[in-house]
Amino acid sequence: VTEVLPFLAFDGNCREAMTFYQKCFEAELLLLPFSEAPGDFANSEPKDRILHSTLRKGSEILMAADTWSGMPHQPGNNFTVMIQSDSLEETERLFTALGEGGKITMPLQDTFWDARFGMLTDRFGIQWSFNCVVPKPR
Amino acid sequence: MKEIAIYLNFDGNCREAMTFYAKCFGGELELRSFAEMPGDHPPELKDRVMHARVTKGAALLMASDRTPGTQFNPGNNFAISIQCDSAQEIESLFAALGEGGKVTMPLADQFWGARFGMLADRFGIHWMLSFEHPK
Repeated sequence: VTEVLPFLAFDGNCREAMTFYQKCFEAELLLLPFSEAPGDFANSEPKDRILHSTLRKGSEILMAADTWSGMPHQPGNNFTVMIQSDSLEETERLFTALGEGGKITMPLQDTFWDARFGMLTDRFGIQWSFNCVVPKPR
Repeated sequence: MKEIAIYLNFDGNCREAMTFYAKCFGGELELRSFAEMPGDHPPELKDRVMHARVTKGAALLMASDRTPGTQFNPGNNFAISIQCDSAQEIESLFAALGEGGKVTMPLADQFWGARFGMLADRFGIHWMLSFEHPK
């Protein structure tokens, strides 16, 4: 295994969500709508729905798509996308950016595992957690 | 940013699920139940997992059980995407994760140049496995 990444599924607002995440992460966004897909895919779904999208910042950091017809979209709370950082400044910036229009479920705070940690549910219903461990000076 | 990782939440079967995943990946499992944490915990919490991680090389998967009193609402709006090392690895990992689960898209060579398949495992978690054929 060379990579494990979260793949999010949306119900028609994948483009909006990934554009929002692109801004938050200051990353590069690749979007493949069904209309631009090859072969049978192109006509299989409404053209503005997203077949595949990727956020890259150096390497890939997040993937997402819209659900296909016949696939029920059931948002759940049984997963969190966790951002591990070693910069307090970056953690606070991302926490503020991703939380815009969302709901903070645990404000950033110091924890017993020596991290600065917080959780939120973003405006698209996706849960994020932030774990920041600042390396101790030697 | 060092890493984006997936943190799963289970409703009491976190230990079983993470033990299964550790076996599938041939990875190392670290697990702490609430009983192992400082402080007093109600009996219904003791066996629940406070934090668990499976690591295998660059791969990291984390999980916990929900605490009683919080709502558990499993969703299908996410999957775990895995890039495999080899054609052999994708076959064996797909078979291992799919045991007792349901294959939603069998492994096949796709137009974008990868071998790819999807499944929902026995715990209801969706996986997407991919192996990019060397050019």
